[in-house]
Amino acid sequence: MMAKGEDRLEERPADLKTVVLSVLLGLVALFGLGVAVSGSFRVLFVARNFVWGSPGGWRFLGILAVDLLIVGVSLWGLTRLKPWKGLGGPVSPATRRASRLYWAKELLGGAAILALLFGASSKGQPFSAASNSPLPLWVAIVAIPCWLLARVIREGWRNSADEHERRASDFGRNAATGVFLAVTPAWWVAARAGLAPQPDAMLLWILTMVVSSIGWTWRRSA
Amino acid sequence: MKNRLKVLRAERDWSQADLALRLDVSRQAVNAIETGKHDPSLSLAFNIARLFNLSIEEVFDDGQG
Repeated sequence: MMAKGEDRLEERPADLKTVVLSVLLGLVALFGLGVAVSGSFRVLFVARNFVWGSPGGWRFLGILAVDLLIVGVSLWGLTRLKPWKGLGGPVSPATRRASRLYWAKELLGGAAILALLFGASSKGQPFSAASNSPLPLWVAIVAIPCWLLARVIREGWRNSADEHERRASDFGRNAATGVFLAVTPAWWVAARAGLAPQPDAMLLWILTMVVSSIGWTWRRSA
Repeated sequence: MKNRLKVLRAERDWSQADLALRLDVSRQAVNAIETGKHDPSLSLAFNIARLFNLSIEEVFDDGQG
């Protein structure tokens, strides 16, 4: 047990289990919130034949309740895990600059995902934003520039981050690339041999994003 | 690579965040260097040594000397 003074000088970051769980819970909470917002948007502003109290209305409310429950449990889990523990104290100018770029990138990525969710809602598929169904043109006009600009800002972030952060980010990217290079051809061959459904680009992207996030966050806090 | 960063920092009553601020890196970077999980680049090693008015060999030990 450390003395109080020692505790101030020794700020231990989160361990691997906490990091992995926190990333997964954070993704579930974000996705669940997006689904709740876009589903409600469709019901309130888009669906003309929606009737409260009808079987469809009850079904919507049921899905929304389960979705919000999942979001609530995820957020509660995050407050229990406290992955932000030990992040206090003064921050250097370079770290602050990198942090601003990081959140700008996240904001743009979030805007692209929100556009996707709202677009899927307006086409009558509130809970299937990750499907391959058609989307309105405005979604592409909003989401694609947001996404591409987020990628450019990400490179700016990488260049202004310190060497430890950069190495952690590269580790996550390498791990994600390895998973992508292994899974994609295996899935493609399995689909052609009738062992699996057709490869889904969105699922592969989500998988690589999760692996990259876990690898980066783990290496960063290691 | 072993180093005396934690001792040097404690002698000055600096937290990891205090040291990170002086080196213009993140607190996680200081923690990773202290625990030997991240070997700093040559330029960062020079900055660290300069900050403590020591030579690099007095801060870091690669076990070869």
